Amino acid sequence: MTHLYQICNLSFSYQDSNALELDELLIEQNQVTAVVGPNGSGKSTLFDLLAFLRQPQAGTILFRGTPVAGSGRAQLRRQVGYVQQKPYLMKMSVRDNIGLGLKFRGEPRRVIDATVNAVAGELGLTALLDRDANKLSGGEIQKVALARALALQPEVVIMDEPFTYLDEATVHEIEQWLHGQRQARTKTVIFSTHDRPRAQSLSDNIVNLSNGRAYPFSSGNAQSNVSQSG
Amino acid sequence: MDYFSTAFGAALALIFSFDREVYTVVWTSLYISLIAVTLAALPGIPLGMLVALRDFAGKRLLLQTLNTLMALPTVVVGLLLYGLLTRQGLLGHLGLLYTTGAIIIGQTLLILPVIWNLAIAAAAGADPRLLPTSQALGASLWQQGAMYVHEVKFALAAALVAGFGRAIGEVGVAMMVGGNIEGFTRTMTTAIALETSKGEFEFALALGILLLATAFLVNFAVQRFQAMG
Repeated sequence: MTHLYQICNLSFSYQDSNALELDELLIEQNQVTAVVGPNGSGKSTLFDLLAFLRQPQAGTILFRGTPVAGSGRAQLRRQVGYVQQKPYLMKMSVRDNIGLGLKFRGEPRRVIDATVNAVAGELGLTALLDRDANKLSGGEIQKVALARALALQPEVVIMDEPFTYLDEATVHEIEQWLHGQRQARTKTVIFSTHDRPRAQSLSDNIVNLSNGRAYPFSSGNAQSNVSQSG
Repeated sequence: MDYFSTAFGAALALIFSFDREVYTVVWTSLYISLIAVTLAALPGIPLGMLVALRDFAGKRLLLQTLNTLMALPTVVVGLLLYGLLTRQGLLGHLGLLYTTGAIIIGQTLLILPVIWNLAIAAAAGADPRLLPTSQALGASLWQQGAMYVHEVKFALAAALVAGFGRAIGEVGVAMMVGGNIEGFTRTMTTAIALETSKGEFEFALALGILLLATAFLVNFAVQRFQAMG
């Protein structure tokens, strides 16, 4: 197995409290990793770090074996498609939202259109493309945010609590998508959930977070990625 | 009351007869203030986005300074600018004193803190997820700023209206560095002050009504724009 991320002696704290203290954590390439833990356990902070949106105060993050430096984070963000817990869609059409990251990269219009159409088709969003993104249901917002991340054809897809606030049908669609990724093994997918049985059924590996620390997890098919617990 | 109603009737007659003198003053005021708003918005909005997006040493001091400058007396701006533009002043050689250019510079300086500060407030009122979302999508700093402008455009429109209102309603700068020259630098506010002192109350009232109508129309246009959102 190849480690896409290697986290060593990482520490991250907000002004008033420690959010994360990780001795060592490995994320395997082209596998599905679930991060399980209650609210406030540090899942979103960990994801912000993995998406290169934050920088740890101490410790190192290695991405493909190379330490992540402050100035290189902006470039590395382009490898990651990040779907936040409550995704924010811009005040524009679904089509423009999905193509936004490509527009930021200066891709030509025809490439953006073709990619948006392909991703929307894959996620069943074609009928919504010309709708105002701010008039969508919670499930539709989640899927558009996923489509927006996938349009960038990222190496890593990070999904923070993708099942929260969703109706059953959308939960099923996201689960199917995760199953598909697990079989295809062409992307590294990391998602968080409170639901351990769901994490076990949908992932290859599990990271168990509690109070900002990672603990070994050993039950079911999924394996623990924590070499040394904090 | 009779005096007022007579003057009001005469003022309406001046307005609806499209009196050349009245509308020359209105046009002078409008174009000076519109250019000043544009010139203040060009740095004011990007600077507002930048200050909102970045933390830096002295940010609190800058915000306090901008808050103070929002209430800057127009005559003080006029006075300082006069000192710079007068023949003996640092910029006297430019020959700008008593020109519309001088009023535009003064009004731009007057409303820059207003637009800058309100742009910061507009960006601060944006959804907190906007910045991480833009960053996660790989937006550069300029693209992040552009997304903020897009997402808070209605609040920014209100900032421009506030700036325009301050510019078109001010009298200190226009009087001190414009000189109130008929057909050239005479604006609605300086004309109102002058004509009232001359006893031409109906002329001043006509300009007052048009000044209010301008403010109403601009606000109406912005409200229509905001309703589109």
